[in-house]
Amino acid sequence: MDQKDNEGQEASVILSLVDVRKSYATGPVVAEILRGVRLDVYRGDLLSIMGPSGCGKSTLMNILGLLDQPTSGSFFLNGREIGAMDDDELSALRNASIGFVFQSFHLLPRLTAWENVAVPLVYRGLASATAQRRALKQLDKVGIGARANHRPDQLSGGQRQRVAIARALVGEPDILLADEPTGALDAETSDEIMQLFARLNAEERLTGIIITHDREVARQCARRTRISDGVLSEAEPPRGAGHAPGTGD
Amino acid sequence: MLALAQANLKEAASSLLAAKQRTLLALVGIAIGIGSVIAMISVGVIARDEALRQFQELGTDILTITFQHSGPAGGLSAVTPDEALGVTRLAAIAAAAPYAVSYAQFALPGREAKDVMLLGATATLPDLNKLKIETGRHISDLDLRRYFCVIGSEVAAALRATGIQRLVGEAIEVAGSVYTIVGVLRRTPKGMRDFDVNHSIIVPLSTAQRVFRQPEIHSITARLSPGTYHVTAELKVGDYFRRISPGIEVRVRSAEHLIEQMHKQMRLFALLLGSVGGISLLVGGIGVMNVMLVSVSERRREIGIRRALGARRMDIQSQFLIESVVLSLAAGVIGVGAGVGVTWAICQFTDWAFRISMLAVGLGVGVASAAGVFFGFYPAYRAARLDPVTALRGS
Ligand SMILES: Nc1ncnc2c1ncn2[C@@H]1O[C@H](COP(=O)(O)OP(=O)(O)OP(=O)(O)O)[C@@H](O)[C@H]1O
Ligand SMILES: [Mg+2]
Repeated sequence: MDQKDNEGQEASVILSLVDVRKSYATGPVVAEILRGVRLDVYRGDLLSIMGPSGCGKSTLMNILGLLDQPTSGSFFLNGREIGAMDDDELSALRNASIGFVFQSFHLLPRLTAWENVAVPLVYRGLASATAQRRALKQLDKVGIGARANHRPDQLSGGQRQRVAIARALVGEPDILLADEPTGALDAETSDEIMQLFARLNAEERLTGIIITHDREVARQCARRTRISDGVLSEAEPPRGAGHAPGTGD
Repeated sequence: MLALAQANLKEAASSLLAAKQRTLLALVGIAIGIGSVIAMISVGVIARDEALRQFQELGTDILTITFQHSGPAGGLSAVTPDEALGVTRLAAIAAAAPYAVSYAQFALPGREAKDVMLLGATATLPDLNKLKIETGRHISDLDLRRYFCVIGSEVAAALRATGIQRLVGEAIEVAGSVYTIVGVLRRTPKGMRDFDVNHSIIVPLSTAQRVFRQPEIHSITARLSPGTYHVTAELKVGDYFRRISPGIEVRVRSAEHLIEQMHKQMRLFALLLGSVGGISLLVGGIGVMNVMLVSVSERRREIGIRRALGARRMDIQSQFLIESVVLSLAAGVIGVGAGVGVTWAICQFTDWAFRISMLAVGLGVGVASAAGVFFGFYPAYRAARLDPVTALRGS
């Protein structure tokens, strides 16, 4: 499944969805939200997903983030089929491979910024001192090291989202999943957050999937997709046979 | 320290502090439960020790023999001094001190008359009743029918208050007879004795036979022969007196016997306090469960976030379990404090020697944490089984 990218390097597939379907039964009515989604995501991709409200973007995100299981179809993460995994394995994989960023930040209100960032490391069983050191470093990286000891209610929306991004990235996940990360931010802050994603994508080959309603946000992603009628389609195919990471504007 | 354990403890404390009112209610429930158990156990233990100390002060090999009302007509039954002393011929009895009792007014010039107890006793009395001389000497067998006396500390104090410095050698008049003081006793707590020796005047039994209006023997203090089982001795003593004086009602008490009875009572007490403590703990425990259930439903989003960040079900379960144990343990500590405080107050009131029963404290803390685990289990289980997607949506 590997392809050659422009520089002739191996661009490895991080995740792939094969004919993923998801339906919800509300009483006697069964609604099929995802109707056969196929998607391959390569290391270094920055991919946007757009689509009308209720089309199943978050549903797909939950499946990608191992929080939910498809009704049918296969999902491979780093070549491993996740369908057969039990809850503990999924939790460990989520901790190791996935970083979440949510529209409403979802920071833990009673913890300080650095403590929030340290949570994924804590669940990995790291010692306090190590977890703290790495959390502080990650906060510096996203430009908010000075606020390490603030609690979420002492931070602005943009600052909170930076903390959330630091938390998503501190465990060095394979992929960052962001569900409307700029949805609660004003245009300027939103732009800053997108620049941060673009920078991390360019400098560190961060792989990211960003759900958004904002065309501006989508424009900054090299790969742009839409969901309609339960099917995901790519706005324009990746350039050439492969794709160049970090080519977003 | 692992970051997880540290974070869990911190989180538990801060989330409990955040839900002040509910936390407080559950806390009070458990604290009352633990506190009352602690107080009751401690007071029980202290009371028992106090009684044991009194028994042991006299010696656990001491028997008290008393003669009770006998027959339907009632009335005190009694034996003669010789009959009483005959009990020592039993192999089970090593020594005996029969005594006759007479109550009298003790008048000192210019003072109010005092009630005193006249004891007509043999030379064995001080030894069997652990009476110690302060000055002078005890009554001896050589004082046969003489008007000598040994006085208790309160009687001595009353005499000294009139200005007499050297009591030994002084003559005092009691109930129409004049006695020469040959000795003064040390102050002795009443303990298990049938008489308060501090307010007593001891005269030779042979003298008492002449002057007491009722010189018969109603009580005997006796000592078991070494290695004798107290129940055997009690039976033998009863048989002996019934043989020489048919129809007499003999009551024999031994320290061992009383201690056994006390242990039985303590078991009953323990059962009672176990149920009282159990009920309050149940009430408190349900309070804890309620706090935890509300906490779980209020923090669904937090649970979802933690799951998204890689927490396993076990991690969520232990987080909430730790929280309920922290809550119960805090209540337990408060309860232990309150229980110890109440015990202290009771000891002040009753003049018992206050001490903290480590058994009770350990039990309190142990029971509190067990309650935390027990009543926290179901809420924690619910938290752990929450579907992450639903939990993340919150509300
Ligand atoms: N647990 C569920 N049970 C029943 N229906 C559900 C459930 N979760 C989601 N749905 C339905 O699935 C559809 C897709 O929901 P989803 O949250 O994925 O939409 P979305 O594309 O993220 O929308 P938005 O842009 O508003 O966030 C909606 O119609 C929703 O009502
Ligand atoms: Mg959505």
